[in-house]
Amino acid sequence: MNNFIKIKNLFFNYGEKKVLKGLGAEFSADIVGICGANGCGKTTLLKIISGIIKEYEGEIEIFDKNIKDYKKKELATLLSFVPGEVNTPFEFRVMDILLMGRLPRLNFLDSYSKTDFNKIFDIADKIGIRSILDRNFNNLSNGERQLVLVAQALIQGSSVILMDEPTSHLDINHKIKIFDILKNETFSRKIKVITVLHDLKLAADYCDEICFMNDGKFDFKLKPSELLTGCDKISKIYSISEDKIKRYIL
Amino acid sequence: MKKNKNLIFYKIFFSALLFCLFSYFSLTIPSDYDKDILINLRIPRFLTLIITGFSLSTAGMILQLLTKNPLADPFIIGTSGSSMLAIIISNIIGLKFYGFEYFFLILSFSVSATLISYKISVLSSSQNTSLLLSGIALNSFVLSIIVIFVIFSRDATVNFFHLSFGSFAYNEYRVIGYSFFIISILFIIISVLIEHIKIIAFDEEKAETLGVNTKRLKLIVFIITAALTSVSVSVSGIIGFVGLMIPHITRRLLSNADLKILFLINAVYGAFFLLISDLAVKSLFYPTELPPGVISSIAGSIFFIWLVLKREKRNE
Amino acid sequence: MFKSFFLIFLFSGFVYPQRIVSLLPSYTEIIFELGAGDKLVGVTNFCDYPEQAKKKDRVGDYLSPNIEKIYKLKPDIIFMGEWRNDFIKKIKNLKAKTIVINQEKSVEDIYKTIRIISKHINKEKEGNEIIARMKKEIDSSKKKSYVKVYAEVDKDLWSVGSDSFISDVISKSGGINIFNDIKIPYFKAQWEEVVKRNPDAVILFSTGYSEFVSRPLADKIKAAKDKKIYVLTPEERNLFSRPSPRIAEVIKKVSEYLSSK
Repeated sequence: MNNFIKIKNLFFNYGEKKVLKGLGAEFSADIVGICGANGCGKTTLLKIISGIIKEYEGEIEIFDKNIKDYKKKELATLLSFVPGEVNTPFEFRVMDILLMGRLPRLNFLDSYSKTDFNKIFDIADKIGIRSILDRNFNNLSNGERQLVLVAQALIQGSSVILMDEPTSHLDINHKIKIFDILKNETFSRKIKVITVLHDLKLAADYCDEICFMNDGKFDFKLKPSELLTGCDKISKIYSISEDKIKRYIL
Repeated sequence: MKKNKNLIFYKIFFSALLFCLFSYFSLTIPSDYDKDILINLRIPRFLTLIITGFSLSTAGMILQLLTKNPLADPFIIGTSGSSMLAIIISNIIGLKFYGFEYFFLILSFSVSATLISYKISVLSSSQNTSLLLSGIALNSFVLSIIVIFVIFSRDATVNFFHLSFGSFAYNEYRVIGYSFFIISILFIIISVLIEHIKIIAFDEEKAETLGVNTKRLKLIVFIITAALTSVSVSVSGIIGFVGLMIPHITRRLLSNADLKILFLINAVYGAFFLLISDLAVKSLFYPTELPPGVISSIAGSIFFIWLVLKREKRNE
Repeated sequence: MFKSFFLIFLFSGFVYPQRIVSLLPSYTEIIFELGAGDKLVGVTNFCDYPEQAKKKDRVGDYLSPNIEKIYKLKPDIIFMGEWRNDFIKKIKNLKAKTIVINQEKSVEDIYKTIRIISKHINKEKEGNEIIARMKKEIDSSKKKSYVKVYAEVDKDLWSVGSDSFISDVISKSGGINIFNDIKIPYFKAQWEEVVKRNPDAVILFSTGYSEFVSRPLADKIKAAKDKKIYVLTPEERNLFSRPSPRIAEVIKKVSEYLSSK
């Protein structure tokens, strides 16, 4: 199995604070979950891989090519990023937001075409947001907003989707819906998903492997089936007793 | 149903526009009017007004989108203090007001000030806020120096007053021509970049991951804002309010339009607003002149309060 | 009887002011003209006429006089114009007699001012003489009338209406202010109006000649065609706007200019 993302010796400081300290990893699974205590650098890691943060030390390769060697637009067709939430004071229609996802495939002076619109309708149907296409993004519920952001990433048509706690503030029904969609996509279109998660139960249900971060590096990884046996390691990361973790996972 | 509402709105708007144009050129001119005056004074004044309206409302709109701050005004990024300084310096060295060299002096000062604010803001973590803050700081600094200077010179006092509120009087056709030319080029650039600007207005990080070079785009847009603002200042001095409020009004009235059309209509609204202001000045204050900045501030604040109240009612 | 005369003589020294502070250059000129210049103990920074005035103690700008300095000079009487109420109050707190004189809006108002000042410093006879002299000079100056005049008193189209001192000076000089129909003393004019009203002569207080003629359609104005555009020097500018006895000179000069070819 080819490792689509390879990370070597990643160092990153936020001012004086050392956030990532020589992190290394290789991902090949379909859905990878990244867990860790608050502030351990999960979001930073995602932002570095997706190209939002550019000043770091170390090497990151996607599909065997250093991300610094990719042209920006090219990278956008391979990677997409779903933020935890979006705050904008302006009104955007859901349709406009989804159209943004098509930008990396547009040539410089083109405008959106019928193909773009058709793709959007397809995905909107798949996700079940066809009915809210004309509504204002800011007026949607949290769950609907997150669905839109996931849809936007899918429309981008990238091979890898990076997600930053996509379901933390959603109700159960939306949590499940989103991950069901993603699981489907990994089957039908062979895409890969890397998501930062807090919910261990959700991770256990959907991720193919779960990587745990601690002190600026990856400490260990577990398959969902190994979660119970790995509770001692998990408890050290979150500094809670092993029993409490066991009870939570069960 | 929505289409019908929009259609009625546009009909009203165009009739109002035509009526204002008609009044501007005929009702306030007595019958024994001179063709010379029309061609040499009225029409340049009208064109100046349009240039100012187009530039300021557009600059305001793209700045607000880019900094994700609906309260950004194109003069905030350092262009107000720097243009005033440029005007006072051109006064000292004897450049002709509203002439060609004058325009370039203002342009270079505006753009430099914007670049200074930008450079300062890049160093901070919250760039959008810092840009506006450093712009304010730069403006205040330059302004206080100007005020010290002005206190000791009576001539400069009057100039200062005029500068702060603008004037549409006497522009040469040559200057008007150049201004239109520059604005057209800037508008073309904006229409090419508008989709990218839209994405940044939604979420900067998403823009980055969608392949937009946000750093470069922001710099370009700030420079365009400074250029538009200085075109406006060089033909009519500093006129506040238009850049801040007109984009709001446009967004409120046309919430769902495509951004490409929105920014053009926004420009037209800006010009239309100044047309009404000038019409009011000509009818109410004849034959004295009230600087356009004064009228636009008063009329605009009232309109804006009405808009805000309307919105509050809707929310209840 | 001698005793009463003696007493009156003694008291007159105390009753009539010996230490005068003037807070406007025009008052300073009037006081000197009345022959009471030696009694002046304080003047403003702008008091520059006559020469002796420049040697007097300065009490500041007439917009914000230095109250402490005025106090130190221990004046008996202070002449000031009708400005900010807080200053009038502060000055009235000093033990001196404070005379607030209304702003002069016409040449006749100068006569009023002269009468008020001369009364308070016991120079009424001299005051009347000055007024008579001024009236004679002004009356003899009036030459031709019906010369339409546009006065630009501050850069960029600031002009004066009928209710202003400068406008009255113009009409005493034989001119008609083109904006006589406007009651506002000081306002910004529309250039279009200036062109429409076609003045025969233009007086520029601080605008430059070249700046004026380079305005669009300036060449259409009669004043420009006849080259009747008078640019005042800074001294002339001061004179023109100062309601002092020297205004008679100004009126003479301007009326000569207006009636010349």
